[in-house]
Amino acid sequence: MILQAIPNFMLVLPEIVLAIGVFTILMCGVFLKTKTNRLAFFLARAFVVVAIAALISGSHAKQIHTFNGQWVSDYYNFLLQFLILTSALFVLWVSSKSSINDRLEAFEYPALIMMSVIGGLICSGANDLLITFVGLELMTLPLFIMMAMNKKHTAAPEAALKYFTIGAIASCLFLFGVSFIYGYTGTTNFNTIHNLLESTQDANTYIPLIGVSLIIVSLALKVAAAPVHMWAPDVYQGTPLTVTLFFASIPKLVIISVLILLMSIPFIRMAPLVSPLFLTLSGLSLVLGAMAALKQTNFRRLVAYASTVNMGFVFLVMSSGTQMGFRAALYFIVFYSISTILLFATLLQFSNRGHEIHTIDDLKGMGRIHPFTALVLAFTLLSMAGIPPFPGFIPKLSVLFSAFHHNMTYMPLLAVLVTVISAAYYLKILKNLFFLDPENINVPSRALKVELVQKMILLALMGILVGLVVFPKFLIAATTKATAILLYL
Amino acid sequence: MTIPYLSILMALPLLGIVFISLIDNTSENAHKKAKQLGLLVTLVVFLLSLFVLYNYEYRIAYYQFEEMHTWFPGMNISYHVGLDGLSIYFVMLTTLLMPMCVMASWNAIVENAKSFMICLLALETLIIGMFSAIDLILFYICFEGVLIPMFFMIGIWGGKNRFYASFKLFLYTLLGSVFMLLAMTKLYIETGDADLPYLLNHALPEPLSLWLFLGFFIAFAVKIPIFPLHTWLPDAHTEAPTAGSVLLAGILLKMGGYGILRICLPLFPHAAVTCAPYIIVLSLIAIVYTSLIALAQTDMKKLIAYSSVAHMGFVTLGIFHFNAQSLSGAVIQMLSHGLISSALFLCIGVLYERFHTREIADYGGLSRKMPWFCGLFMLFTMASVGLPGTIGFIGEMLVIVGTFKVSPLNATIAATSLFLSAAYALWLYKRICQGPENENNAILKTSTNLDLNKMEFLNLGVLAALVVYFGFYAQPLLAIINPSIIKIQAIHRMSHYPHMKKRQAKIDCNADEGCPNRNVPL
Repeated sequence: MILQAIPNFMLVLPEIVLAIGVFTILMCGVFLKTKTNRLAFFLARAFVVVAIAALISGSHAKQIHTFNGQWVSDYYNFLLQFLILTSALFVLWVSSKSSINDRLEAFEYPALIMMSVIGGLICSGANDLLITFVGLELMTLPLFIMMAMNKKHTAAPEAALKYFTIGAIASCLFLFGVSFIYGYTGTTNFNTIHNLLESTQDANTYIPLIGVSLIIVSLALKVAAAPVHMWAPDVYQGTPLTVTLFFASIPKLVIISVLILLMSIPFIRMAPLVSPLFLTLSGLSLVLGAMAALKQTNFRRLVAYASTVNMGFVFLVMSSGTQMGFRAALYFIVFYSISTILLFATLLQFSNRGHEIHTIDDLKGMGRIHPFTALVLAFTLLSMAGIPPFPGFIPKLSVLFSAFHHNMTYMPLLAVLVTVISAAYYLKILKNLFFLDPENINVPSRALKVELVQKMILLALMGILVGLVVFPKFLIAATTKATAILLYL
Repeated sequence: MTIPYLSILMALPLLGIVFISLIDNTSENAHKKAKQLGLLVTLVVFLLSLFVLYNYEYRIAYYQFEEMHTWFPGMNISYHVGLDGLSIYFVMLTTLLMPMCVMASWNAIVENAKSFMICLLALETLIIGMFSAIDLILFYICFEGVLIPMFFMIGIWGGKNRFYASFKLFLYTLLGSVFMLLAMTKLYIETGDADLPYLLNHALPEPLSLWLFLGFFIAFAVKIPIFPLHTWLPDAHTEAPTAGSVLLAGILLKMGGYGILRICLPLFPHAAVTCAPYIIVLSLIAIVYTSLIALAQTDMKKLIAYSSVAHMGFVTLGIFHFNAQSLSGAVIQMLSHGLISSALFLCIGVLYERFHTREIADYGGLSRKMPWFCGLFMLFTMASVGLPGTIGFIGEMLVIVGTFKVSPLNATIAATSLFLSAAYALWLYKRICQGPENENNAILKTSTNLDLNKMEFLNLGVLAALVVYFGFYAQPLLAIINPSIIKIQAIHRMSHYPHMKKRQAKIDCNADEGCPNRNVPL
């Protein structure tokens, strides 16, 4: 731990840039008379690009502690911040048009997204439990506002209230767990906790175990893993799609990365003890998520349950407590967040053209009316299902590799059986998209053409997914290095 | 620099997909343009594959046209493709059947023809990829990848019950394939490598070997299909469009047999020998039972579908008797079934396009108005029976001879298929083509030119020529297939007979020191 009088602000340059961006947007929005929505989004994107540039220009070769040991800047930090910022860029890009349709025209909207992103960035560089908590709260508070912003949406305030309540409970659980850890070790710094837990003479480490379990459950609650996933379908159903686009992809990436961070630095000694907890969460998520998704008629609830199933895969590999497991989890969640952005971008594309997708029946015949968007949706869904040859198969393969490497036999079997079951509901969606005829009376006689910019965004995201699979060495090397730095330094 | 023929063979259909998807969907001739482009691409791929066959050196038992690129660095998973005697004819079969599928759907598929061509071309890439894959991960991706285009083809352009059929095909085959995924992953973790030549030199502990064999085998058993796991096949075949049925019967079923020969037998010989009695029993049941079911069918396509199960029963029968005749008979049977049942489904497609019904009761006495069709249909039904002079005979004869060497009883039971298949085939032919013209068939009474048009004649003619040519002179097939078969059989002999173990030890190598050439003459 390095005690420095003045913190090294250059290491948190991306966060500073984004914070300046938030204030700039807010000031512009307040003081400019004309319609500021487009300007706000443009400024948001510009600042995110500047933040990415700031991030890349910094050197992350070695691990540097700053802010009195509460902040770490290393390769893990770099990778996570890069992923969060580029995902945020795509989200902003897609939201800029769709927010008008969802009547989220306020200029505060991009500012809220950026504040949430700052929270995510803080989480990734935190070296202290309380700083992690600050980051998590900063990430989720704007989400509550974003969900409830449009007062004309009927279901949105209910969803926002549910999410708020659940988020509050999750934060309480997190702090409760932190308090146990603090009570046992007397500190909240990751490295100090690590040293203390490693060198403890106690035979039974029940107290930190309770603390860690509470923290894990609170994060599982935030990420909608079973058995604490009940809020997700209602929230996904109620919120406007533009908001779901953001909150289904980036917070999950952040929370899983926080979980990896927590399990590799402070609580690494607890890993064998909490492994059954992870396995339980994983098994329940896989089974409950798949079973519930089969019965759904509402598309957004189905997506929520499908994300529960995917979280089941992540928790499966997190249970191993080794670098290989964490690497597979990180790899999986990166693919998952990109796929989710792509999924909601295609749904927003449907909305932009006048077809709000709520139920699966709403998708009937979309293959005829919007062939390109329907194809991208099919690509995304099959990728999330993990069917080869689509890109989503490789993370599933990586999860299975990790599982077998740690001599698990029944969990991989469960995982692949759940894959088959989940294929059923994905296929049901495909059936509605392509096999059935549209029910709408106003069916255009020819398929509608997609604007070039929207097409480019969707193609870019698809291209990223395919590129990550055809040339896997970048992401594999990055994730390996990142998790290795966590565990071995 | 060697030209990467296999990668080009796989990339050309993808290029075709790109060009076809650029065709403007709103123009009047969109579907014609799509089909023309599809035909062009598939013909180019076929010609290129003929060139590959021409350059194939048939005296070598090892992989040719090999390409290896690291895919996942440091994880020993690579893009490793190559052809050997076992796979080259399947690749040829694929590239031969694809233009025929395009031509078969020329008049049948009008709506969404663009997407249909894209599905066909995607299938072509994946199938060629599967047959030429040497790396297990690539093999698995292509093996399972064919399900998606097939799902779309059946679901969008299929018959009345198409939703049920497409879902059943997909979920059933997926369930089988995930067991292969588990087995492959376990194999990879145990050995550290996904490359088949490396794995061939790596012995596995015994109980694990059996589980891995079963894992792989279940996937192939669903695909072939082996008797209790065959129920997806009749639905999928009947509800698929003509091109879909041709591909399903012609190639997709062979993926299972090829997988057993490529992966299950060489990697897990002990386990294969242990499980052989049960599989042989299932094959015999398949042969006899499904032939009897075929006898009872009233739907033409379902009849041919059940006869496909019976023919593939011969394949597994041949494979699991482990001698050179039956193994090469199994491969020839796969190739012959690929040609013959594709031809039969094309014939049914011809009938369906004209009369729009698949019920046999609606037909009768076609030979007056459709002489060419009936002549070729006769040839193919007799080839399906195994008439000497057609390639169907070669396959069945080799399998029965090989089986007889091991177990005369099995051979006798298998030989009953000869008269059972003659029963349903001849009866089918009689009900459709011979006898008086069906009174209730209005189209038959009133239409004039019902006989084959040029494209259909080209399709069926080429297939007929191949069936007869290889029926008389199968040496081109056997010369290329036999070296690989002997290699597989040698692995079996060495591991099954203890006195051969010492030789086995000399041939086995330590992978760290580099493996010597495995072409040790036996």
